[in-house]
Amino acid sequence: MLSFAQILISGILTGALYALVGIGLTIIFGVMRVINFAHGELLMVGMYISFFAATLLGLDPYVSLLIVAPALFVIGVLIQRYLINPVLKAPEFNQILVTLGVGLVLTNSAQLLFTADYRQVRTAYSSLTWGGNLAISVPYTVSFLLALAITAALYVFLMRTDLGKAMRATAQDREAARLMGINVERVSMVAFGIGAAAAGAAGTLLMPVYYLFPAVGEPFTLKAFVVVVLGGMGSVIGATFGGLILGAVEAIGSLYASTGYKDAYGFVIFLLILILKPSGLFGRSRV
Amino acid sequence: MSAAESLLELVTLTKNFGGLVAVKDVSLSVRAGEIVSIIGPNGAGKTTIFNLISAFHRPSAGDIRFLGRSIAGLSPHRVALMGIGRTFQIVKPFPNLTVLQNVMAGAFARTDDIRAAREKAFSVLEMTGLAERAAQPARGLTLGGRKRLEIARCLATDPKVILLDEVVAGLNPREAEETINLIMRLRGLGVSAVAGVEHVMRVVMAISDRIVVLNHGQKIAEGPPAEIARDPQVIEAYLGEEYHHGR
Amino acid sequence: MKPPAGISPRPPWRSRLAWGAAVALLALPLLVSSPYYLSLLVMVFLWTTAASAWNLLGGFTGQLSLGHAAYFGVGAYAVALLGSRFGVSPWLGLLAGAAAAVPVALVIGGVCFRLRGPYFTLATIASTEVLRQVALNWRSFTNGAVGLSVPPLFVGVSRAPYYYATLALAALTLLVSARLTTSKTGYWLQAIREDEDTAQSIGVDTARYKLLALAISAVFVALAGGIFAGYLSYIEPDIVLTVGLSIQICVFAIIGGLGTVEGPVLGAFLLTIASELFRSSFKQAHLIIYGVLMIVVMLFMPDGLLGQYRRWRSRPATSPAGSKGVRA
Ligand SMILES: Nc1ncnc2c1ncn2[C@@H]1O[C@H](COP(=O)(O)OP(=O)(O)OP(=O)(O)O)[C@@H](O)[C@H]1O
Ligand SMILES: [Mg+2]
Repeated sequence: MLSFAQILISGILTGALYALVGIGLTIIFGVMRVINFAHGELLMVGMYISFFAATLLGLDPYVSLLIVAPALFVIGVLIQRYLINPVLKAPEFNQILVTLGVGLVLTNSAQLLFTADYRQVRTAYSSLTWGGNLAISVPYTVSFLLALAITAALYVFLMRTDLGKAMRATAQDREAARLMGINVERVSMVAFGIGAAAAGAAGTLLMPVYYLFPAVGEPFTLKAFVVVVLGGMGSVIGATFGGLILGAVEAIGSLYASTGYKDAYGFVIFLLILILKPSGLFGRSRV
Repeated sequence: MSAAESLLELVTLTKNFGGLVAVKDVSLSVRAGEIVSIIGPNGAGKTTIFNLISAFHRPSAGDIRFLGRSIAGLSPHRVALMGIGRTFQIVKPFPNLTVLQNVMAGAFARTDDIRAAREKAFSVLEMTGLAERAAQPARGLTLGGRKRLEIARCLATDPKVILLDEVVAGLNPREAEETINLIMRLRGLGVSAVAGVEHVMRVVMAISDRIVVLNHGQKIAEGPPAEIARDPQVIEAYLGEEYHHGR
Repeated sequence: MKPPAGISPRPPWRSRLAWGAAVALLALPLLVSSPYYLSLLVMVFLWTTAASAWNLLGGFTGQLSLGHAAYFGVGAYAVALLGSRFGVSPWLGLLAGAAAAVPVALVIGGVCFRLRGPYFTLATIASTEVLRQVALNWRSFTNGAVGLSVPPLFVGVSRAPYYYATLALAALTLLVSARLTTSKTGYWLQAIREDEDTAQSIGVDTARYKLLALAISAVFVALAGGIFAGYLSYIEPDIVLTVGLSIQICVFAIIGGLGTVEGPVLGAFLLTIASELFRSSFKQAHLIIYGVLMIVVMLFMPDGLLGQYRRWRSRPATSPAGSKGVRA
């Protein structure tokens, strides 16, 4: 029983990071109706920035959030401005291929520049635990809390600020938003920037507990989709729960079945949800 | 009119979208070679009726009978192959195919042979006045051309009845005239037509054997054009000034 | 009623060109004995096969599958597993793989075709990923990540037999593809790509035709995968069951020209040669180039190289005199 509780807790802690990746994807989808197939690769870029901030500047991975998030925001804005915006009116087919291309370029550039080596940032607290017998990882817990804090901040931003409201209005009806005087081009850039920053932030939060290599992002793109599909495309709250559920399911699945299939559980759920309840477990609410 | 001589028959057809009743208890019978117009203002339920007949929507209640047999619950392609053709209010040509290829795609409903399909397509293009545009990609056509292409592609499937959703909306008077002439010729081919029209025009009144007036999803009147034009309920609910002062 | 120009049969120079190319291709191994160039061409033919087969579904039918590695993997694993576990001849394995691809395609298609657009694409990725996980984790049967050695299809060191086998397979795929463009099935597949609702309204059973396109496509990709496995003599999940492979297959078709018969050939040829040139200088470069090309093509010439070329050629045709007969 102890191990069940332990596994479930660690699953939920990981789930918050999945949620953050998914939220980035869902914001981009909500505002632009574009599915970003390069999302995991943005997470990977965030991890590399965090890694080099730690090894070259000696920054703690959590502190490097302050560099990673703005950097990814800028990268996101540039990608939107120069690559996504031109295909916004093109068929979905073309949009998918453009974002896939971005992902290919990012992963393989990383491999070219930094080799395929696995890397890790060890910190003083990397192997600390708390909770007595439950032995809950301290860095996982910190990452979990930070991920929840960032999620909450994003939610408040969307609900309370003018820019956030403009984003929601654009998500609801792009043309109506334009007529209301909202600069939807700028809103789209900001949305992509925020989406990318969320992915980068999730990568940074993974840094103390995970390892890094150029293709690390690939499964995260798919996981982000699973999260978003679970929660309903375009819903921030849905994605949050989607992330936690995915984390828990992966953990429980690897306890009762096989660890090897950990990644497959998510995909099976994903296929089932898409088929049985395409609007997601939490209905249709948009950003 | 007896069921035996009717080609297409709607029996107390009803369609709800959630709480909204888009079509309510509509009954209608169309005989072979007859041209029936369904008129009604924006949102009256014309498109929904077409979507029901062509099986793009499932009826919430009621039945659709074609050649004496219920077709409710069949899939759209089966209904199409049985001989119910349709056009779309928002025209949907195959944009990257040529005009000829668009129509050939329709002709393949009745043949597996490419030569036969091409011949059929050319004869339909000739009839619809699109022959000289055969090699042009459909996306380059004007709205009028695209609407005509929709009809041509549909005719190539050899329908017994053709459902025309707003075929004249958005056309200039000359294009509208040509389209109306085309519909008139359908009768000679033994093809029935059910046309949905939002705005009433004298021409529509002139070509229709029968007019059905729809309002808020319900049939409020039915009869020959002259009768409809005089029906006080229709005039009040819908036609009003438009018919008298409009075009 | 005469068909207008442009629909008339191809001009004779084109068929002469095709015959010339065929003779040259058949004679090539007699003239070039360098195993390096022959291997390169074997890969060109395999990718031509996979890309053309993908193009039946992706280009003609408009269903952006990023899960074709699944069928490549089924073909490869059929040869490898039947050979190494049951001692079955690789040729029988090849046929078994092609046959097995059909039910796999019908199951994957049955699930994924319920979805449209990006959801469909995602579902194809996820289904391949599930297969990869099975191949990785069912160690007692598949040997997991360690992989399997594969019996060769041909004995001896000469590359020529593989050259002819892959050439024949590529030619067959192209033939099917070309036949399709002038058949009812081809028209209806394109109708589905252009607009599913309209396609249904003229009698196309869109679900059935999509499955048909996928099944044909899967068979050829599985054959390519099977020959590839025998040729490489070793496979593992991360070679034949990756999303990267799926992307690669579709990139060839897209760069060359979606929905055309020749496009995938052009794409496979140019990209295989180009990536080979760059591979010797730096290893990851070809994938970066694929990525850049994907973006550039989608932004600036979504019809691919061939489409761009045709557009460029047909530009003078807009002159009022008309240039229908100018082609001499
Ligand atoms: N798929 C749908 N889901 C929900 N409501 C729908 C759907 N299709 C139509 N409706 C609603 O049903 C009603 C009837 O619409 P319909 O399109 O049939 O009208 P119409 O007579 O064709 O009007 P128009 O002149 O605008 O074409 C409208 O209120 C419309 O909003
Ligand atoms: Mg309508």
